[in-house]
Amino acid sequence: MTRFSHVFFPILIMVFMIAALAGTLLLAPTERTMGDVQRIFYFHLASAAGAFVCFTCVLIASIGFILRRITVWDNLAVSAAEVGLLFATFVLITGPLWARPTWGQWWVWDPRLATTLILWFLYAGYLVLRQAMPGYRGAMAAAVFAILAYVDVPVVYFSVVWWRGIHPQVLGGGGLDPDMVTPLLISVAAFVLLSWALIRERFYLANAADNVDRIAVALEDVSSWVI
Amino acid sequence: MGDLNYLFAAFSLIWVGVLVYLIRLASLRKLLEGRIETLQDWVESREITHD
Repeated sequence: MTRFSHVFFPILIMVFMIAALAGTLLLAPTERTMGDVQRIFYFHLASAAGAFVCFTCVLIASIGFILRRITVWDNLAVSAAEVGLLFATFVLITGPLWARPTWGQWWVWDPRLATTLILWFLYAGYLVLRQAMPGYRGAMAAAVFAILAYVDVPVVYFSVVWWRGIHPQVLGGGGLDPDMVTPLLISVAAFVLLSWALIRERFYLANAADNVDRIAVALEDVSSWVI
Repeated sequence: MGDLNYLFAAFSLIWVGVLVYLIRLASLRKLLEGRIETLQDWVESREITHD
């Protein structure tokens, strides 16, 4: 397990990230109307997939915390929210960089864009709330908030179906060239693996910090008892 | 700004973001190691005092 997590797993992620880059630049065909700038799509959608995986992890961990009331679940939720926010930031950065040359504007108040921005603020708010309210009460409040915030995830996904906007519907919309599917899947796999690895490391550090806190408190108690 | 510049700007920003987050994780790890070391020193100094 240690050998897998410290040697094999980082190498696997590196291989997938290089494959994703090669697939995006070399394997994927050049889109007819947008040209090379359309290649941003492979990282834009993969970042969104990574963010959705992280936010789903936050939901599961928050439910776990409410049911079991142990800090491990809270640590997992905070770790996943932090990584999810990073990937959501990638979505909000790559989107306008793709929109400017294709739509002629950096930002349009399209339902998909607006709901994604709301999602970013919701999880940023979650982390601020968790930071501002330490301890059990803060963890419980954050868990409830995270469950409510997750409602926006399906809203982001279905916003292109429910409301008319200019953002294209890629999955289920039938607009994806078959040659684009393989590089897209490699990119999504690479970003999901990367998000998993980052959550894992952050989660390990959060648990270790909790254990050190507990040991410090216990040592102080023992020390005062001995004296 | 040419089309390729937008593409490379997007790629670069993603990699910079990942790198910044890895630095954050490394600094958190370093902080934790520092705390463990302080705790170990404290335990050792206590043992000396009580012996």
